[in-house]
Amino acid sequence: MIIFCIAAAMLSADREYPTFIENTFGFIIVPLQSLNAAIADHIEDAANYFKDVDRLKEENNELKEQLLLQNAQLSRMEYLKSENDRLNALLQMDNKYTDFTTVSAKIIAKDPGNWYSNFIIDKGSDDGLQKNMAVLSGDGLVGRIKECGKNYSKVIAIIGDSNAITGQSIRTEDIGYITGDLSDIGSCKMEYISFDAEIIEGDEIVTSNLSTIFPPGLKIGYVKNIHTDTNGLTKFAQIEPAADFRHMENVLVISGDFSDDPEKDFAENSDTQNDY
Amino acid sequence: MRIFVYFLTLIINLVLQSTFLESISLAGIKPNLILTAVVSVSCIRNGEEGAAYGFFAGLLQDCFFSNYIGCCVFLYTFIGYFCGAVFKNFYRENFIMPMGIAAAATFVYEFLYYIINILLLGYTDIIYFMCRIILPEVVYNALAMIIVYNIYLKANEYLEEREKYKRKVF
Repeated sequence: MIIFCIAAAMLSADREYPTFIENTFGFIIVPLQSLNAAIADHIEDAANYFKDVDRLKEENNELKEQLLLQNAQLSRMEYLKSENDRLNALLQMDNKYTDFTTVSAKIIAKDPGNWYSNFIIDKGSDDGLQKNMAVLSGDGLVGRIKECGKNYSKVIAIIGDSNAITGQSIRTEDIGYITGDLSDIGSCKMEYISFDAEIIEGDEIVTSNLSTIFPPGLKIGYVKNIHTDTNGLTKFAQIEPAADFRHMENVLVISGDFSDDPEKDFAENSDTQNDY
Repeated sequence: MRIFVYFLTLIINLVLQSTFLESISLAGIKPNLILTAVVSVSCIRNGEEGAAYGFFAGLLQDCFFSNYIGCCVFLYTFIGYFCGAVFKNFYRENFIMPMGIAAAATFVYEFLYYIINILLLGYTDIIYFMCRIILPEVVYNALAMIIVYNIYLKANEYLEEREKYKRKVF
């Protein structure tokens, strides 16, 4: 029994695709879970229907104002982007912030245990998702896809992930390695920040352009506090994630290739040269 | 019939555990229905059946949620077997004893889970994990056990009645 468990653990730890049997169970369980989630949503909606009318009116007005503002900003952004493109072409720089496509998905189940915050979303390889794609909520980075079945995907949250993400502070561009911090459940820690980095509490941390699976510039969270390591050479910081892991319903999955592949860069470069 | 009912309860447990239980969690801790189901089966029937039930419950949970397969399989099988062995000499209509066993089983399960998955990553602050996760879940599971155990007891009565009838016919 023990040998069987250990063998299963070793074989299943880092595989590409779930097995046929898991996929079959996926076909049975995923519809049930979506149904359940839908029922829960419906009950909540019905309960809040009358309570919400006044609040919604107010919110609607606010949102309309915001939309106007955002539209104005967007048009300005478009202008800046075109200017940026022109200047980039002048400098013959490659475009690091490539466009990416997003797929929206609904969370249908959360981890049964209390230790981790992994969850299941209702899109899988049928919708073009793959292992290691980045998952976002409206507030910030949530995690990455750990395993991709046919009609479901298992997402591993950044607050429980022992694989490191390279992050950097927006203000000072100091780089560190972010992992989940289980000694304070619900937060992350950023390690190996160089000793002379000028990072302070409250700094915003985003993904850096060193990562191969996350696009640069996604918000991760804010620095809660900073300590010096016992070796005195590096610092580590505790990060409060921007995403709210308790109350998430919908997430976005970002697909695209962000690795610094020299051949790809070369190809893109030659493309842009041809364009202009 | 019994196997079909077991399979059905496994799936219902997993679905409920991963969807509805999130909304009745207290301080971020939710009870573990799957664990209480395994303890109920092994108390009501016997250790061997509990172990088999635990094996498949763990396999299902591991397939869907864990980072690797094997941890929950081992823990649920282990708990299923030993709860049955402990409960052998007690009346199963008594509710207090299963509650105690569920509490003990939850403690063992979470403690071993901590050692296998968390301690080896370098998190040694056991007092924090005890107060934050393990002890609240022990209490919550013991309370959830009252409801779950009653349901399983009724279901088992019905199933045993059917099986008795079947044996008379043949």
